[in-house]
Amino acid sequence: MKRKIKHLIKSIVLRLLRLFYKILRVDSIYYQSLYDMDDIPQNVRFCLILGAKLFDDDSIPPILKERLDAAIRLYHHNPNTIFILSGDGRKRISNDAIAMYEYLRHASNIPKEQLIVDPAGYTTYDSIINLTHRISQKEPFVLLTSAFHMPRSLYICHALGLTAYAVYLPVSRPQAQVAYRNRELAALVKSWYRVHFHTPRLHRFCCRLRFVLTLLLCKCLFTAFDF
Amino acid sequence: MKKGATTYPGRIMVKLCPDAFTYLTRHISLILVTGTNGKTSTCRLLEHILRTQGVRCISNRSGANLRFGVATTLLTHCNIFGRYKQQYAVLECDEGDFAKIADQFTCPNVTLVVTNLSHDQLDRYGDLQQVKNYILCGIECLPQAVLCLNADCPETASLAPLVSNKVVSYGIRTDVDNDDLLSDLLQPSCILSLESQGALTLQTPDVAIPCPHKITNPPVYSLYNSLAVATVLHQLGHSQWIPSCFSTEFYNPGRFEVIRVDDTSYTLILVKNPAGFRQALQCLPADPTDIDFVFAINDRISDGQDVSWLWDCDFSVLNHVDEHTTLFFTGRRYSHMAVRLKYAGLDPERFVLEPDIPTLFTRLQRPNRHIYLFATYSSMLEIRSHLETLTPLKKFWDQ
Amino acid sequence: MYHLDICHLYPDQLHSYGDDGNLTILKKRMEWRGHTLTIHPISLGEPLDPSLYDLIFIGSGENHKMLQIISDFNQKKAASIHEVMHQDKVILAICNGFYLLGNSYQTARMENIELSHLLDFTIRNDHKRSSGDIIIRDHDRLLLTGFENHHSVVQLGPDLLPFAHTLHGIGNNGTDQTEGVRYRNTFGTHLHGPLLADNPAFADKLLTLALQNKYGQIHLSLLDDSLENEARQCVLKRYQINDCT
Repeated sequence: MKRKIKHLIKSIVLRLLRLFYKILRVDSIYYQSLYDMDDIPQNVRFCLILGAKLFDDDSIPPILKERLDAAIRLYHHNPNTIFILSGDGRKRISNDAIAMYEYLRHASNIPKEQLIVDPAGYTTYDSIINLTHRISQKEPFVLLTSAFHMPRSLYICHALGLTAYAVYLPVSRPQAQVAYRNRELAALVKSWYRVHFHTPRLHRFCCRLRFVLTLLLCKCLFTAFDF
Repeated sequence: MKKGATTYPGRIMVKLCPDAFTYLTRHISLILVTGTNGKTSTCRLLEHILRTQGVRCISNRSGANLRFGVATTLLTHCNIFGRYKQQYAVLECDEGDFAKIADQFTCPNVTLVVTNLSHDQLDRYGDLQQVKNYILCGIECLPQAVLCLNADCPETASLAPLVSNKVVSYGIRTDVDNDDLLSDLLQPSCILSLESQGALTLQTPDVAIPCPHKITNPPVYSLYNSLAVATVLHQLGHSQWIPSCFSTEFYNPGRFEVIRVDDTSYTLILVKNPAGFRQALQCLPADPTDIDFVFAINDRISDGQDVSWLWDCDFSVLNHVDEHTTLFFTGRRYSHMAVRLKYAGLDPERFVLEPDIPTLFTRLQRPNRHIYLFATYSSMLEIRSHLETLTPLKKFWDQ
Repeated sequence: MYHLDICHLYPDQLHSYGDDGNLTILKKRMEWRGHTLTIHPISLGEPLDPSLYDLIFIGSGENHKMLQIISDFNQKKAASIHEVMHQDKVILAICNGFYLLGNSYQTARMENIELSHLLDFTIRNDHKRSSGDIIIRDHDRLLLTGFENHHSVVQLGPDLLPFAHTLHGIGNNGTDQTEGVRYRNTFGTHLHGPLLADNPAFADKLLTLALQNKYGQIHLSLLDDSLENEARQCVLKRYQINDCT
């Protein structure tokens, strides 16, 4: 019985999220921005590579590796590209920004002058906003990220008025696609809010609210299960 | 949900609210204990002393030392404003995991204790260098933390020059000092002097504190645990409680816990890695008679799935035991342990192999024998739950 | 009465995971038969003359320690080992130890490190850790059990034979069911446990090969291996594999 209710709630929530996805017309933005690697104009000088959480032993997961390998192919297509590697560079471990840099240095001939590390790319939104601080709003750029992540990322670029060229990367982990897709649907709400309503004060309030609600939920769980 | 597996609330907390620790650690003083061996014993003793002195503290239970366990412990005690009734949180932290959350700690008072560093479960962190790296990474996130380091452990002492934090180190000096054994890397500021008559004195930078104790010849590893606690108390400004670190006999399940069932007495000893096994073997009586040994080695995740570590242990001390001593082997890797001891020089004729624990106990019940039981984590739980059916025991988690 | 000299390479750097136990096992098995065996440690910086020894053993260790000794091995030891490898000298190398014999090692960050090129295989660091019980059958149809614990992918060259085929576990790369490397009397494998603890038949095979190189046709008396066989059966039963040998 409990399981049925859980399942029902989950399917209602997913339906609402999919509706939201349709309203924002994320798919049409996605298809508009999709290009083949060879069709990307040579005057597009910049490429933003979005980071991803490293495995527990600090190794690069396949969803990140595919982005870096695509970057190497892009370099062969246009050797003047400047790559911005955006990730969470706060600590020495789980530092995907530095991991991306080291991988590209060893696996390709991209000179280090063309590799820029952005250590403040904590979320997708942060990575894209940080790019606007480095290059002009009107400057087009190539966006490299995994297939499941691309629609939301492109939505953020579009909503901020940026011109992004997306390259389709073949799906590397088909077994995880459903979980990734659901996560992206939920994350879209947060991204939409950040694009339209974000201020630091509101952000702090929302973080604290999130903590209080999660705390109450966990406390309930703890008492419910430990009797 | 089984007791001892209470980390689900913490998992959900960390998943839904990744910055939870910023709020959870704001209004409490943290005492974090990490290292290869001795974390649990040190935490338990510190918690015991604080409680008996009327200071309220919270602590995490054995086995819940990953970030999820720490989160569970903190969230169950704090209110929605992130405030606690308790003053201290004494937390056992897994060496590799705490670096992942250390950057979120907003607590103004953090004391980090590193008990020792040596090769631990091979399949989890195969690399001592990697473990040290993680610990250093965690320390980098806590520039205001005070570090209490074991100066007598070379790997731990080597952390001191690499950090800019305040370091309070501790070590043991005896009347007869063998200089080869002591590392010169770090001069301890809190020194425990062992006089030849057995008297203990703790020399802090300010004052010397005599610590009378009841146990003659306490095992060295437990002295280090008590010394770690004493250093923390000195650092917190509660030096008046230091003598109780050495005079308290408190209940530490599975760590030299003695249980009597009818005429047989059992000493349960938890072993997890070569360093711990070596320390445990050093505590055996010098002239053992009327004793038997049981080795209960499992290979579940909590025990360490790769049992090759048994071959890094030195079992030569077992060669001096009485010819009437029998060696029993049980647990999932019973025969592997038997092979190990065969190559250590013991006579296989004295081995009794019995993989099933209840059956083993029927064969063990011999009057007026003292059984030394060396067990890994999950087999220790199985053994204690079997012993509980024979005689009432305190639960492994409630202390 | 026979005597063997074993060279233990890099005992200070490659000494993790209990693999030194392999040497204890070889020594005891000789002593129980009334023979003797001496172990000679050769470390970083020391020259190696393999003709003085009957068996060369390289243990395994942490990755960063292996990286420290690569240039020493390439410059000071590889040439002399190359010579004796082709003369059927018995060489046993475990995990990182046998990686030293390969062509190249690629780290997690795609850095390529040149190895000694003694045998034709490459190693690549992978994000997946291969860890767990492993059961293999070697070319003499011996069933061996052990524990593997590495996150490397080994690709054998076209002419290099594997040490064994995996019946359970990952082995070299998890795709071609090969495990380890073998060339003449050189054996490289990922098996910890240590390798010879559960597999006394293979320990005796190594001793026989080394003794035959030295003394010609010899005969090793049988020992009571019931404990070791029980340990091996324990693992085989877990995965329902029958020991047909």
